[in-house]
Amino acid sequence: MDQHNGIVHFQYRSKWWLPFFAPIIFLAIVVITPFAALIAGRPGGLDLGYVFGANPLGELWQKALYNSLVQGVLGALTSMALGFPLGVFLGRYRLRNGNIIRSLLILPFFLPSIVVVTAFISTFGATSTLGTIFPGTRIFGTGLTGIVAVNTFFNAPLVAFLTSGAIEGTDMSLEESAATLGSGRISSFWHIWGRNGMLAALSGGLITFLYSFAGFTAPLVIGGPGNFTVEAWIYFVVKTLSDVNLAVTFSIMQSLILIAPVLLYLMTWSRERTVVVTGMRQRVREGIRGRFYVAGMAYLFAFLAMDALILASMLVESLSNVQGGSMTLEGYRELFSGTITGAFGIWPLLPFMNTIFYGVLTSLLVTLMGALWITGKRRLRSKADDALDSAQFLPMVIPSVVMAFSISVVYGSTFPASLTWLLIIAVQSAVAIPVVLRIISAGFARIPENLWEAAATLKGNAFFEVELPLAGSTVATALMFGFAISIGEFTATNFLSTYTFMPISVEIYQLQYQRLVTASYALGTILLVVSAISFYIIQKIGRGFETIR
Amino acid sequence: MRPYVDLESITRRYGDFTLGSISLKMGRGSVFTLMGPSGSGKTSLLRVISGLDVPESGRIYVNQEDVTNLPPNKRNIGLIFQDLALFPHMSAFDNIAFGLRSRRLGRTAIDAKVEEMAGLLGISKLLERRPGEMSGGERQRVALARSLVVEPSLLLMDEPLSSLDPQLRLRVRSELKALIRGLSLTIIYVTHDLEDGLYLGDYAGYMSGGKILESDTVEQLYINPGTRELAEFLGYNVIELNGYLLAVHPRDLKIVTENQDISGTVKSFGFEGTDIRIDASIDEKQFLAALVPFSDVHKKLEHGIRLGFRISRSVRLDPGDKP
Repeated sequence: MDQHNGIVHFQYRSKWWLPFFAPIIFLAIVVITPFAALIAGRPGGLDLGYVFGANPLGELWQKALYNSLVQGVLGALTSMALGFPLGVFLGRYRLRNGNIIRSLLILPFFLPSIVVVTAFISTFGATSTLGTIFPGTRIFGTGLTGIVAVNTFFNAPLVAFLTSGAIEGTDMSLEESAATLGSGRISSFWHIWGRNGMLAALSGGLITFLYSFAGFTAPLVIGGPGNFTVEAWIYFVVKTLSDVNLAVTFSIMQSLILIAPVLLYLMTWSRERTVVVTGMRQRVREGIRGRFYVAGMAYLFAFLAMDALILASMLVESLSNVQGGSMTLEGYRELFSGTITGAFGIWPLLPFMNTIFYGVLTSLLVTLMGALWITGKRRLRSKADDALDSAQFLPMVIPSVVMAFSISVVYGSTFPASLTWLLIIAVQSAVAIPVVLRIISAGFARIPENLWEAAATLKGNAFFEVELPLAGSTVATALMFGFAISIGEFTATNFLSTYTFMPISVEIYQLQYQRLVTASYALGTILLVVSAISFYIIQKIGRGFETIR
Repeated sequence: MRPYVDLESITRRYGDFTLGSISLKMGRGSVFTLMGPSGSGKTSLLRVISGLDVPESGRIYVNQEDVTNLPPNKRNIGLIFQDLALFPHMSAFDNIAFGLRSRRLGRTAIDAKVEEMAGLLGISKLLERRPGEMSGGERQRVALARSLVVEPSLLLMDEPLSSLDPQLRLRVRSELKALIRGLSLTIIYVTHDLEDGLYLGDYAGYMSGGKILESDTVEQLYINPGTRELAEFLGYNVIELNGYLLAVHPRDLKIVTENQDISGTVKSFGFEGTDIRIDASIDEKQFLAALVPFSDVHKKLEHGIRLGFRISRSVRLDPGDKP
């Protein structure tokens, strides 16, 4: 009879509260507490005179905010303008090897920002082959145009990907139903299938705005102080001017500004999730070789060719001899020689080992938190999960450099320098939480609730015997995403790292800083290959498990 | 003068499946129910008639007009899908008004027509709701209103009741029948449910393997099935007896103790309301089902006992029509 006792039942449920709150507790320790402590510990509170006053610091803030807004808006507009047509084409036509094409298209979005920026310098920089032959192309390697180009290179594929997914996901019978009710092509596009694509493109545009507004690597490396975003200035004023007060004011202001677009993004995302159409059939056209198809193929080819050109140029530059003439492996040799020891005072392989170490621990930590959270959520059937889900997007409101800055200020004094690696993993995990938890949530949502209930009534272990085997691809994908985000994360890691603890992404930046350009291209190429391989594994593992299922 | 709906030798291939030379004629204001098992081509035929798929050969005439090469939005043929395909992002009002807006009617006319149709179907209070906020029966009515408000020349319905629970299904079916009669609609109604097909149709056809095997009035089709396949679909026993292949309805079998036409060993039995269903094996290969009024069962039924049956009515099938 104990099983029917209300107290026992409550105890059974209550044991899931801790797992359910695991990510929130983690974010509270790593993000919220340090950020709050930073604000609270600031003498005199928030000095708005800094940001609104007619003084040099006020002007600096206004210029930084202007740069962030301009880069955010331009990045979103160009990404939508270039990505939406491609998404429409991919969503409406079934292409041979479509999955491979999509994988190649979305690859830039998963590349570390430092790799892309380095690739842009190698392609469009003043000393690049293309820049020498066509000087007009150099605008994409420097200044505002360069930053917007980098942001577009990252995010246009994302917009295309989201758009094509939404269009493909439109129930064919809705479009057919509209046609039988007298709706023409334009009306059908506007009201039915195109509408979904446009909403998805807007959602992609919003993400692009968020990433570009809080852009760091491109403004820092190719933009120069005149194009620094708020994020880049926060880094600069702490690292160079050691002005913590100013950095805190900037951080708070930036977070306040980002709350609205993040909430807007979450609203559009949750709306997309709740539209459920049963018995959905996809609208995919095959074998149509009309004008739209030819134009679409030409556009797709141009898109992929541009991607390939930018990424391949880094490989070419990594093999070029500074003195001109034949190809050389000098850049690669420098990476594993005394040059590195001389420049940074470390064992040359240490950044590689750090990269793998951070990647493995971050992916394990975030995936474990995700598994705990989703299991707790399913067992508790929490009514407040929307609010808690939204809280997981906090790392998008408090940008990486602010997180790194606040965690280093608050915990830096209590942690010995030898434990810097722990802070790096903590921040990388916080950055990975919104993405990884979303993947885990989507994967587990496909497993019917009654399966774990059935397992529970049979006295089995519902998680290990039922849910985990069914969500194998989700967990594998989450692990790989965690790894990829870790090796690509540059902003916070660069802030926290010392030479001893730097991973490859930070080493690339340091090599450029030290004018070891060819070596930076070589290391960029290596990181590009590692990222591409991990992305390939994400795709492959995911699909493999799908087939089994 | 052509019939109101005239399909002339329609063919269309879908991979391995072929819709084979289908002809059908219907008068204005009649309801033709197309029945058949899943995968027999019923939905495919509706898609061709509506213009969503183009036939490879044959012609389609509706109201004296050749619509074969017209796109679906120019045919004025309504189609209600199995899943209803209500636009989830629109209110009931906007769903119903969709076709009127596509025809570029003025706002006043749209409002008036939507409200009139909503009143007719009893959904006036639901007009602000979205499909996700309605019950199954309410969604059904909205889908019907959306198709009817544009006054289609022909309405195609693809198993629209299949997702409803049995009680609601009976109620909606009854309302639908009254509406069809009241508005004199011309309808092709596809279903694999025998009761729906017989209840709603003036005429019915049985489709299998991409062809309409038989068609007639619903009564004639039910009483005199011409093929083994249709007889089995209608629930008849198909029995070889004295060299003839007979279709015998379970209600046309009576339990007797002498002068029996056929006998069988009871395999299972159960009460079905007014009747008892008895499933029995005649021999190793042949089985039969009998529906016997409860009052007619004088012998205690047990598994394995032998029962004799008299056949009160049978339909002789072509002896070559073996499975």
